[in-house]
Amino acid sequence: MNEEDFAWRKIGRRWLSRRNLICGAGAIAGAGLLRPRPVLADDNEHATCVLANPIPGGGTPFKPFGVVVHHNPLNAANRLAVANINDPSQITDFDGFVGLTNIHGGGTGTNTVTGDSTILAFRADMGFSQGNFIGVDGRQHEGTFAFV
Amino acid sequence: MHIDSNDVFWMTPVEHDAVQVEFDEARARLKVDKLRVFDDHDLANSLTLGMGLPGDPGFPYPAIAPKAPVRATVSFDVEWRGIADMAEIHNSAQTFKGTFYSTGTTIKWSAEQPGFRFESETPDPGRNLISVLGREQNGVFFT
Repeated sequence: MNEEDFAWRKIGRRWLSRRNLICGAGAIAGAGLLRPRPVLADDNEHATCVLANPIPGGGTPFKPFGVVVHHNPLNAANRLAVANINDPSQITDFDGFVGLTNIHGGGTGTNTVTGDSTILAFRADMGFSQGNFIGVDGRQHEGTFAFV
Repeated sequence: MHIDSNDVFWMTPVEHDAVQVEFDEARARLKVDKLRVFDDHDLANSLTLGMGLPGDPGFPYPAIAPKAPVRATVSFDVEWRGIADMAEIHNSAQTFKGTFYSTGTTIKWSAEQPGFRFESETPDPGRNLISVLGREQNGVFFT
């Protein structure tokens, strides 16, 4: 294990501990140290730590390495043929609003130590889901999520 | 951004009022300030949990060095508006249905982490490649 790996695992443990305090250990019993972040639904009355379930589809772009990506990227070819899109939600058992965008652009990156800046390009695949979903606990919850 | 422990892809909970939808007008806004995230550096390191890619012969991608994630904050203001197309979808294969608009979109975002800050250009509708706004049901809500 190199130094960076070790540092990350320490970060993971620290994050896991924070979530333990917020959500209770039972909610993340199956969480691995490398992917410790449960979905936190913002229920109306009480913030509750509830994992949502991913859509069944997706792909594995770096097969045999990497994890399954439960996401259907938008294809710009469908901009005028939206009937051809795949499910734009990342969450299954979901009833609500979903927004998704594939957008590019430019901006300014700044080294905050030296003050040097440079023009950079970006491409973003972002969105949101807001509505009701069935969590891993089998119960219905209301939540708002950003896809970042 | 990490994938969560239940494999939900790059989703993070936000306040309810971070999202505003006027669906009949095909308009929506996602606005979040200073969201704490992990910057995974690149897609490969996000998907391989920071292990990078070995670039072994026989795999159709180059070697990518392992990168540990870095804590960062991001702010973004995304607006969906303007109808380019609309469809009612009932997709039994993927078990989702609903009303979907293809819309225009603008984005303004910034990010900050130790030693670096990024600020995007003035929002430009011409930068949209494709955007969708939907009212949908999937999974057990698909009937």
